[in-house]
Amino acid sequence: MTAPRILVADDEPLLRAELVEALERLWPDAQIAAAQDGIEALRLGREWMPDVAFLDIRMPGLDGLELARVFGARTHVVFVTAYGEHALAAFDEGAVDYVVKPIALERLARAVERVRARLASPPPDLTHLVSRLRPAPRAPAWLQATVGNTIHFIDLADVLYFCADAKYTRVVTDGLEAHIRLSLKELADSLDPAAFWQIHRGYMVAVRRIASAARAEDGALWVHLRGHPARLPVSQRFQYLFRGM
Amino acid sequence: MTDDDCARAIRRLYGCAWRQGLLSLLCLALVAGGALLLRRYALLALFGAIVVPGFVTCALLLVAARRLGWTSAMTLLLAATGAGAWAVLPAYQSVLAAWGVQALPDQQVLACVVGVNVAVLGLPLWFARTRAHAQQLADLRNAALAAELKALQAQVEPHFLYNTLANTRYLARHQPPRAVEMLEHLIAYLHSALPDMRSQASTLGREFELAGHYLALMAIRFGERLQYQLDCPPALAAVSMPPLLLMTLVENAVCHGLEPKPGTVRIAVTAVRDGDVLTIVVADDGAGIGETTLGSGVGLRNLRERLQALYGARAGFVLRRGDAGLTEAVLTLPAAAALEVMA
Repeated sequence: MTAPRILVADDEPLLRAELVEALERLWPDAQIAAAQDGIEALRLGREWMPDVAFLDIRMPGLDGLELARVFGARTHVVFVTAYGEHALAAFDEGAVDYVVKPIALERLARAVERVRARLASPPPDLTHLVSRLRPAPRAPAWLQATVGNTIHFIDLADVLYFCADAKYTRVVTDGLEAHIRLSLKELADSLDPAAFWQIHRGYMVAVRRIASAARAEDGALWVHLRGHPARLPVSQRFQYLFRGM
Repeated sequence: MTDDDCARAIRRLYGCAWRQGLLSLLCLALVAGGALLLRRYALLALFGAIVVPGFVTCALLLVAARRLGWTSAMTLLLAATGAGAWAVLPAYQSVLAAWGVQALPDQQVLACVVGVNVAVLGLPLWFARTRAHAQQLADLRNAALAAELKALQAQVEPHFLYNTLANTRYLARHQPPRAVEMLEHLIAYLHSALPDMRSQASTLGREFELAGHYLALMAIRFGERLQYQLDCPPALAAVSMPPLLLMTLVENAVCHGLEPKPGTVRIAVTAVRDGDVLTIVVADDGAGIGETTLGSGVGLRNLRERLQALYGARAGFVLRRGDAGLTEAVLTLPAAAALEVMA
């Protein structure tokens, strides 16, 4: 049997060197290659076809979970995870090998033993586990918007209202007006519907900042904002939001 | 708590040591004696009619101080002066009748007694209440800020410590002098990241030093990938600023600029003072928030809330990505006011 090939990927050079060194001691007949980020690991994985990969989960370029999915059925993956980064229970349930940084030699020796024993059989399917380990996206708190040539990061808590403007959306805060490269519809889909109300095809308002809704003489309904002179129209379709006001 | 404040205010306003009491009685006797000598009987009687209910009211308030809140103290004060005025009215009239002097109309006497006593006794109590409320709000705000700061300072992440120590372990085996260097940075960082809680204020120089140790550690961990530069003009080193604001920005640049981007990333930290405005910029050419339009950064929101609580509208924070592809976190603080903030 040819010498097994081991790929080590970690973006911190000293930790990478330490892991390589430890593996050389624990698995003397193996060939070892190291990658400094996800992209290099992906290239090595394709060209060199390692039997085993020790993948740091958090890496620039491509992270360890993504790589594990790409390596799929050919490479046995051992995840390297920083303390507190993931719930280790998920790894245990998924029967996946992992070591926690900083690496303890006995723990690494056990992982090496297990993966050696399994080398002859094909690696388990990790797709399911990978999707479970991916952190659920949190509710957005910031958005990026452009003013001239500068991109500003705007706290959603500061937003007064959004206004459709051709294929862009204009965002208005107390001190700033800027453009976002998303349509009002796309924006509405990703924002908390309890915090932002669409009140018109072209307007979405921050509920916190609504001062009042009042009918004008012609019967149209308008929203007035707290601390801002703008007055926004409410179209027929969205007037149910203000029923009882 | 409010009731305690109230009792204290009542004792301060209406109580006195026996020496002071004696002196006051002497003054009163002098005024009364003077009036008698000058035969100003009408004035003397009116003076008595005002002073006696006032004394009784003070005594009542002092006796009941421990059981009174602000509202009940005010009510008691009004009731006591009103009732006192009614009670002294017959005495006032009969004394003046005995002296054969024309008495003032009843309403005027009542208005005089109640008016003077409410003005002399009631207004100070009212001001004391206003002050106590303002003080209480300020105390609450300071307590909230201190608690938040404590939480921030306790936040030396285990993850950060473990990774740094793992690096040191490797260096200790292969390059002992660099391991020592790394440990020295770590010790200095921990020393300033976990100060005792009495020092709520910091200086620009100290904060730059802390950021410098942190970046030095990160430069050892990430090797060639991280290049950094800190530029704190010596003249500004002593300018006061709240602790850990700068650290939040630097950690942010490492976490969102350096860590997700393959290749070399430069981080530059600068400070300038323009009149009364201190501007601190942390710039990096890393990943920024990238293509995503919506992000969820909790750390920066905390920073903005802290700024708001400390300075209101006088401080500002902007995160932007400029022409050159630099992500810039720009913090503006009132440089002169920084001194009084954490007092």
